[in-house]
Order: sequence, then structure tokens, then C-alpha cells
Amino acid sequence: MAFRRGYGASWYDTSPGPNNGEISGFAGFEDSGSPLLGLGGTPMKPPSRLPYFVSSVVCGALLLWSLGGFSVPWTRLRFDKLGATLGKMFFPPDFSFFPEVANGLVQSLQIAALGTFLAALLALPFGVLAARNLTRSPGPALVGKFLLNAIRTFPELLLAIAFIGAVGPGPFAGVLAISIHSIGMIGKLYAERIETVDKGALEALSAVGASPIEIFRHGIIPEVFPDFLSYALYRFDLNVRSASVLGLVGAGGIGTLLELRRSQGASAYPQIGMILLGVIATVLIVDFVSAKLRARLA
Amino acid sequence: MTVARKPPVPWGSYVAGVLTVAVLVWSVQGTGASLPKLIQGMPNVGRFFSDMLPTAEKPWSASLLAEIGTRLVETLRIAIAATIFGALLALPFPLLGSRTLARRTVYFFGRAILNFVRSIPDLVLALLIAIAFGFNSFSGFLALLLFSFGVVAKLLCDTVETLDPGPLEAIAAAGGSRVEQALYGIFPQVAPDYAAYTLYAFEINIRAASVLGLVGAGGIGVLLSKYVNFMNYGKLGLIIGIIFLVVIAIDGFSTWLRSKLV
Repeated sequence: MAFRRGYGASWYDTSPGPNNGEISGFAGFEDSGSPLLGLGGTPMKPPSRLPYFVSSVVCGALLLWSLGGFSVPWTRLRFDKLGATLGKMFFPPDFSFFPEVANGLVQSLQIAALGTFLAALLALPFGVLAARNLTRSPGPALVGKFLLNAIRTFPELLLAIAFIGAVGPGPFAGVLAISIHSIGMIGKLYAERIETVDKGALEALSAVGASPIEIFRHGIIPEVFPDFLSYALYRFDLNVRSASVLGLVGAGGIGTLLELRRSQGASAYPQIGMILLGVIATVLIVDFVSAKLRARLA
Repeated sequence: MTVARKPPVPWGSYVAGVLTVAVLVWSVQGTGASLPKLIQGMPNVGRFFSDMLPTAEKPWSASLLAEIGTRLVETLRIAIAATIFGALLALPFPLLGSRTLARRTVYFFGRAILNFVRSIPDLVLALLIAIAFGFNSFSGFLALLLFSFGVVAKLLCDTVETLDPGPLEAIAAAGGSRVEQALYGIFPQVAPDYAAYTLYAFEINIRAASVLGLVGAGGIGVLLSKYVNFMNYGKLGLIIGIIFLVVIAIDGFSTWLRSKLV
């Protein structure tokens, strides 16, 4: 059989060969010149391998440079010790410590909830400013996008440190840090959603003489509200993670407890294990619930 | 005669609204949030940022700037090495964590591993590793490696699941194994996305690497931690300002590169 004979031969290899695209050893295949198979005429070139090559070389060079930066502490890389540490932390964790952990977790959830709510409100003007379809000139949108980027770039923990300087250590500083930092992402998502709003409704409103605020209230909000809620919920997920480490710089939540216990050395390992278990469980539960809620909103 | 139909009463929304307000009131109480306190403290925020600038009586000392420079390079190195190793580790993961390439049971475990890894906040991970392996930059590197592995592997698995199955079926029909399907049917299709995800992980890692030092895991955060403990807000402001500039520069570059890729 012609086809079987050709199987495994290079009939699909379209690179220019010595026969210039002619199929050798494949005489039985009647359609060998079919343009559909790309076999006749000029052969197709394989995609260039240059990008792979260049990016591999760049990555390799960066890697070599970066590995020169830190020495591997071989003597400390003892996996028996890692096992022993984990064993002390989790087998078993200190369950009697649970009430304190629960208090810390509740405070983290409160920080995340209030911070996300404030951010969802504060992000509204930024979202409107950064949306391209609400103004004639591109200027305001560019300014808005730049502001949102700058806000997003500022690491959350550093904001927390700045706010501790203002309102003192404690969960309120954490709330402020989260509410400012989250504006960046929520505002960007708002702007992108507003840009896809149905133009007809906006034009109809402005045709009957609605003010910009009325247009926003009646033309944009009803359409985008479920999506805005879902962005806020998504950000809440991320903020629960953040709120669990804010305490490491003194901004409240479960991290405060972690910071306290880690300075106490090996005797506090079972308690640290309990804290970590609590954080992981909380994050997983919040992720799950938020995904379910967002699926209902969509 | 027409009867105007009333819209249905949105009871669900009312309940959700009341619940939200309740949660917020509870949160305000739990966190001690207060507007007067914020207004009172605002001048301090202003001073925090104005303290960044040098003055005649307290100029930036050369030794401080040199120390910041060294730590900044360390931060970059941690982030780069962790990103590349994490991304390499993530590359074969769709064989375990995507519906396209993995069997049902394997898929279930693959996804469970990913969800677990991503549920641990990066700083907590760093702290855990540092407790075991010592408080040094290598622990920070390991933590970010795991973290970027989680991010890239998750995104890669999701992308692989949306791929055109044609090439895969062709390779399977020609007797190719799952690994061969992945290598010749999937990789060429996802390579640009993979590169974009790696860059995205790098952006996150730069930010994370700059605060790792707060738990003693190396990088410029070590200096942050030092000045937080000394309550030296002037120097803190300077360091935070420098981190901000570096992060925004890298972010801009990486975003530009990603827009070229996809």
C-alpha cells in the first residue's frame, strides 16, 4: 500500500530539500502534488527558531548573573532538619492555640473586607477617568491609566509601613494600605469594563439632556454593576492573603501573632503550625466561596 | 386597559445589601478604623514622603546609598533566579495539571497541588522556609521559586486546556505518546503565552523580593526591616521611593515585552 509505504517518511516535511519539494520514495501517492498539502510549488518554511534561541541565551545569561548573587548554604540544606521542623509544626499543631488564631484570622478578614470595600468605592472615579470612551480627547484616560499603574506598583507592605507612620501600628493601618493598593487593580478592571459599555444608552441619555453624573448613574452603573461586584470579590480573595501577612510589619491581623511567635524559637513551632494551618484553610475557603459567588454574578 | 407591571422586588439584593453593611460595621469595630484618626495622621504621611528628600543637615550618606545599591542588586538576583527556575519547573506541569494531557485522577492531584501551593501567601512561605533553612537570601529564593512555579503552572495549565486539539489528535493518531504530544503539539502553540506568564511572574517576584527581607529572607527588605525597627521614617521613605522607581521601571519594560509577545 502506497500510504503504508509512505508512513514514517518525510512526506509532511515541507522544508526545502535537495529535491526541491518533490516527494521521493512516495510514487504511489497520487495526490502528491496537491496544493492543499503544501507539497507542490514552493515549500512552506518552518517557523524561525531565532526567538527561542535569543530568549534562551538571554535567560541563561541572566540566570548565571543572578546565581552569582547568593551562595547556596549547603550545610544548612538539610532536609532531615526541614522534616523535623515541619514535624514539630504540624504533627500535631497546637490545637489549644486555636482560639487566639481564630481571633487573628477574624481580624484579617475584617481588614480585607473593609479595605476592599473602601477600594471598590475609591476606584470608581479612577475607573471613570481611565475609561477611553467617556471623553473625546485621549488625555484624561492616559492620566487615569498612569495613576492606576503607579498605585498598583507600590508594594502593599510598604504602604502599610507608611500608614503606620500616620495612624500608628494596628489593623487600621492595614485597612488603609489595602484600600489604597487595591484601587490600582480594581480601577483598571472598572475602566476596561466601562470601555465595553453599550454606547446607544449613553447617547440616548445625553440626547434627552442628562448630566454626566446622570449618564453615569443610569447609563453605566446598571449595566456594569454585577461585574464591578465580581471584581471587588476577586480582589477580596487576594486581600485576604495580604491581610494575613500585614501583621509582619505591625499592621494587624493574624500576621501579628506569627511575628510574635517566630521570635520565640523552636518552642513555638506547634503554635506557628496552627497559625499556618489557619491561614491556608481560610484562604482556601474564601477562594471557594468567592468563586461560587462570582459564578452566580456572571 | 393596561396595567403597569411593577418590577419584581429584588429581595436577594436587599438581603445582600444588609449583610454587606453588617459585615462592614463589624469590620470597622474590629479594626478600630476611624476617620478622625486618619485626618489627624495625614500630616505624618506627608512628612513620611517629604522625609525622603535630603536636606542640608541630613544629606544621604554615601554608605547608605551603597548599601541600598548592593541590596537592590541582591533583590534583582533573587527575583530573576527564582522566576527562571520556577518557570522551568512549571513547564512540564500541564502533563499533570491539564485536562488535555493528564488522566482524570492525575489531573485531580495536579490541580490540588497547584491550589495548595498558591494558597500560601508568599511571605508566609518565605518565613516557613527560612525557619528550616536559615534566614538568608537563599530561603527567599526558594520561596519565590515555589511561588512563581505556582503562578506559571496554573496559567499554563489553563491555557493548554483551551488549545486547538487538532495537532494533538494528529500526533496521537500517528502513535505519539503523551510526552510527544506535549512537545510537538502543545509547546509550539503555548510558547508565547508561556513567555508572557514568566514575565508576569517576574513582575510579581520583584515586588515580593523587595519585601522578603521583612521576614529575614534577603534583599532590600532587610534594610526596610532594620529601619522599621529603628522607626527611622526618613530612611524608610528613601528606600521605599527607590523600590517604587525600580518596580515601576521593570513593570513598564515587562508589560511592553508582553504586549510584543501575545
